[in-house]
Amino acid sequence: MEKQRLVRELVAIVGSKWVISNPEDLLVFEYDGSVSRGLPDVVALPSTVDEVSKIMRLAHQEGIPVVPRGSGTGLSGGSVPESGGIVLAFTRMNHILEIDPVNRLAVVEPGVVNIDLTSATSKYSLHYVPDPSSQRACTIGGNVAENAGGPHCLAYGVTTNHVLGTEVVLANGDVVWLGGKTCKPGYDLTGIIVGSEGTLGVVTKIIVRLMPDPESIETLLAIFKEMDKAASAVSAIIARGIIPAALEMMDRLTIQAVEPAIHAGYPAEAGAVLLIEVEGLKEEVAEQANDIEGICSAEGAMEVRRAKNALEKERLWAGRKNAIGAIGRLSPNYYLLDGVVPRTKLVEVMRKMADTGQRFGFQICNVFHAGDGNIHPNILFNTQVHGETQRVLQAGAEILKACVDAGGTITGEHGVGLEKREYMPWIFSDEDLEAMVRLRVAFTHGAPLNPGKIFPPRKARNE
Amino acid sequence: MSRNDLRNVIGSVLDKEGILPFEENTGYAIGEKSPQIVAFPKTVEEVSKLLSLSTQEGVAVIPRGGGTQMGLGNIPRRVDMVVGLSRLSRVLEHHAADLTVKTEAGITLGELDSALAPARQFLPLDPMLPESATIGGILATNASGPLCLRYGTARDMLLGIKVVSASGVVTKAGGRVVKNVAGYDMNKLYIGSLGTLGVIVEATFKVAPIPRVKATLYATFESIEKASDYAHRILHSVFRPLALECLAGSTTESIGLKLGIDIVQKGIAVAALFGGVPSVVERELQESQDICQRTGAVSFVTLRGEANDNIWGEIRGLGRDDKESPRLVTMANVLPSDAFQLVGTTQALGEELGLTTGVVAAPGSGTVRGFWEIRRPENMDMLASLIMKLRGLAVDLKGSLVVESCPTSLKEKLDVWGAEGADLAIMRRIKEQFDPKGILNPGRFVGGI
Repeated sequence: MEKQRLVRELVAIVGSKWVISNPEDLLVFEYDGSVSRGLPDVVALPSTVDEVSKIMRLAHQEGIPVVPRGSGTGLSGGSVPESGGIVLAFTRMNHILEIDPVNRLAVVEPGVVNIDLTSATSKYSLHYVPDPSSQRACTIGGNVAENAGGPHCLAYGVTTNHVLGTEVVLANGDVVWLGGKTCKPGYDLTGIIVGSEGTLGVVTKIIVRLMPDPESIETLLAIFKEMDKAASAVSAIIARGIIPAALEMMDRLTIQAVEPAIHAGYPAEAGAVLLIEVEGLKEEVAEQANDIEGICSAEGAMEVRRAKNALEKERLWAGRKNAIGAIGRLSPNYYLLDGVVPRTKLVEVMRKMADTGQRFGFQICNVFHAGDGNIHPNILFNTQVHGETQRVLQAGAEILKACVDAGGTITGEHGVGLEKREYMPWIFSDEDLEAMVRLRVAFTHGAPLNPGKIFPPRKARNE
Repeated sequence: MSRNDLRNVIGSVLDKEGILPFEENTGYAIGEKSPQIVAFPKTVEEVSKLLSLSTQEGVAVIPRGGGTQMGLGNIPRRVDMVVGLSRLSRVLEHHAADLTVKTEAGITLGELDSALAPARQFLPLDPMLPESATIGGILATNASGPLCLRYGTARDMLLGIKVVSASGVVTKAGGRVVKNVAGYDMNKLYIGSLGTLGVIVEATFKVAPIPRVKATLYATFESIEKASDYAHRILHSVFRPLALECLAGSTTESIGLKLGIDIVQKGIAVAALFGGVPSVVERELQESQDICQRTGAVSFVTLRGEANDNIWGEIRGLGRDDKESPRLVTMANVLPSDAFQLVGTTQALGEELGLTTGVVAAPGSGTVRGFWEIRRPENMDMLASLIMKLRGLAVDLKGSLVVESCPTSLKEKLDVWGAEGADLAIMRRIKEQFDPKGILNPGRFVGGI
C-alpha cells in the first residue's frame, strides 16, 4: 500500500492528531533502550480496542508489518521495527480500568506505567510485584510482551506469574479474551502471550494479580572486599532456606561509579556490595535478617548495614537504583546484557566475563539480580570509535555464550528481540524452534506481526 | 491396523516387559474403551519411536502416568494404545544449592519428594494421591492441591520441559535457570494440555525449602456466613497461610470421624495451615484463635505433627476414584469473593435432590469442589441436570465448572469441560499444528480437541 493512502486510512480510524508520519517525527520511534535501530513508516496511537482492531484488520489485508510499542524502554529491540510498517504506540491507552481489592486484582490498559499501578493500589495495602528498573517509565503492556522481571521477582516470580488474563487483538483484527479473573479449562494461552514479544497478538487489556503489602521489611547492605565472597554469601543465604524478596549485587567498577554520584558511603576498597531485602511477618523477618547478617559476616563481609527506617532503606537502595545512571557517567555508551546462570555458577561466569573484558579491552560494570543468577553486565564503549560497536557486540556474545555453557540462558527478563535472535540456536535445536514457529502459525497464519523478532532469520523464513 | 499387527509393530520397538499381557488391558480402559495395547517404554527414544509409529499408522494414543486422573476429560473418540510412563522414573539432576531439580516424568511425586527431602526441600505441589500421581501426569492435568494458596501451581515452578511430539520428535523448552525469557514460554503450553499436544518425558522445577514447622487450626462454624467472615479475616490479614480450605456437608463428617474432631451438623469447617519459622507459626495460630472467638466459632483445635499431616492427606484425597462406590466430582472456579456463595448453593442443591453431598472450597483461589454420591445408575439424568444447573450458577458468577470424575454413563450425557470460549478457535489451530493427525487423546479435551 502506498504510504499516503496508508496514512489516510489510519487517520480515518484514529484521527489526524494521532497519526505520525513526518520523517523527523518518526525518528523518536526508531529506537528503544537497546542498540537496535529501525524506522517505522507510520505511527498510530489508538485509544480503544476497537481502533486497534481496525488497524490490525487494515494491516492484515495489506500485509503491512505491525510493531506494538509501550514506552520504548525495552532492552532487546522488541519495539524497534525491522522492516518498516506501522508502529502501534499505546501511550493513550493508559487507564487503570478496575481495582478489586477483595479479589486482589486489577484490570489495566497496556499503556499504564508500571509504577502508577502500585501507586494506585497502595491505599488498599496492595502492590504489583514485577518492578523492572525502568518502572517509572515502562508500561505494563511492554512488561507483558517481554515477560519483564525486576529486583523483587526472586521470591514472587516475574510478570507471567502475576498476569491472570489478557484481551488480545489477533493479527486479523479479531478480539479475544485469553484467561480471565477466574480459571477456565483449556490451554494456558495467557501463559503463551506473556513473553511472546508482540509476535502473536496485540494485548489491549491485562488482568493482573496484586499482592498484599508485607507487615515488615528489613533491608540490609553487605559490603565485601571480593566478588567471590559476596557470591558465596548469596549461595549460603539460599542454602539456609531463606528466599529473600530481593538479593542484588554490584561489583567494584559499579561501586566506583556510584559513589561519586550518589554518596552512598561505600568504602574505597569495596569489591562487591549485596543489597538484601527480606519481608513477611515481623518475627520471621527479624530472624532472617539476623541470619543473613551472620552469614555475610561469616563469609567475610567488611561491614553489614541495616536500615532502621524508611529513609535509611531508601538510602541503601539509592546506590542500586541509580547504578545504571551512574555508569552512564563513565562512558559515552554502554551495552547492557541480561544473561542467566545457575546461582552456584556465578563466580565461574563472572571470572570468564572479566577475562572477556580484558581481552577486548572493555571495562564491564556488573549490577544484577544475584539471587536469581540473572546477571546484567554493562560493557562500556564508545560508538564514535570506529569498529567498537561491532566489537562490543562480539564481547557480549562471548559472555552470553559463557552463560549458556554454564547451564544458563541468553535472556532472563529483557527478551530476545532483534538483539539476540542469532543466539537462539545455542539453547534450542531446530526442532525446539520449529515447535515455537508452529505456535506462531496457529496464532497469526504467518501475518507479519512484529516480524524479525525472536527467531533467527533462517528459521523465520520457514514459516 | 489389526490388533496383532499393532502388537507386532510395537513389539519391535519395546522389550518384553514393555508390553502388558493382553488379558490385563481391561484394567487400563478409559471411558469403558479397552486399549488394544498397553506399552511401557523405558527411554525417551522408545517413546519417540512409539509416537512416530502411531502418527504413521493413525494409532490413537492415551498417555498415562500413575493413573490417578484417567477419569478426567470426555470419553476419547478412540483408544488404541495406552502409553505408560512409569518406567521413566529417574531423578536426573538435583542442584540443591540452586533449588532446582530435573526429573523424568514417570516418577511419582512421593518418590521425587523423598529424593529432595535430605536437602530439606520439596516440590510444593500437593495433588491427591502423591504416592501414585506422577510428575508427567500432574503437569498434563495441571493438578494442584491446597498448597497452591502459598506456592501457586505448576506454572509457577516449572522451569523446563522435554516433550515427545505426536510425530515422535523430541523437543525441549525453558531450561534449568529460574529466569528465562528466551523464546515462547512453551512450558505453559504443555501444562494442563492433557497430553493432547505431546507426551511429557522430562521436567525441571524450582523447588522450595521445607517449612521448619507446620500446624493447622481446624475451626468449625454453624453457618456459612460466620465461616466466610473468619476465612476472609485470615486471608486478608498479614498472615501467610500455606493453605486454607473450607469443608462442608459430608466432607466435614468423614474427616471429623477419621481424625476424631468435633462435627457440627450442617456446619462448616475451616482448616488453615500455617508454616515457616516457629515464632511466626505460633503467632499465626494464636491470633487466628482470637479471630475464631470473635467470629463465633463453635470449636477449634490445633493439629500438629502426624495429626496435621493426616488432615491434609485426607483433604487432598477426597477427589480420588473409588471403584466400590463411584462418585461425581465437580470443580467450579469462581472469584474468591463468590466462593462461599457457591458453597451454599452446592450444599442446597444436594439437599434438594436428597443426595449426600460434600463440599471443599479454597476461598483464597475461588475453587469449589463438590463430591456427590451416586446411589443408583438411574440417577444419571438427574445428575446431568444437576451439573448443568450448578454450571449455570458458576457461569453466572463469571466462573466455570468442570466435571473432574464421574461414571462413563454420565459422561455420555454431557461435556465435562463446559462452555467453550472465543479462544477455542486458537486452541484448535494449536492442536492441528502439534498433532495434525489427531492421535493424542483424541476428543478427550476441551471442545473435542
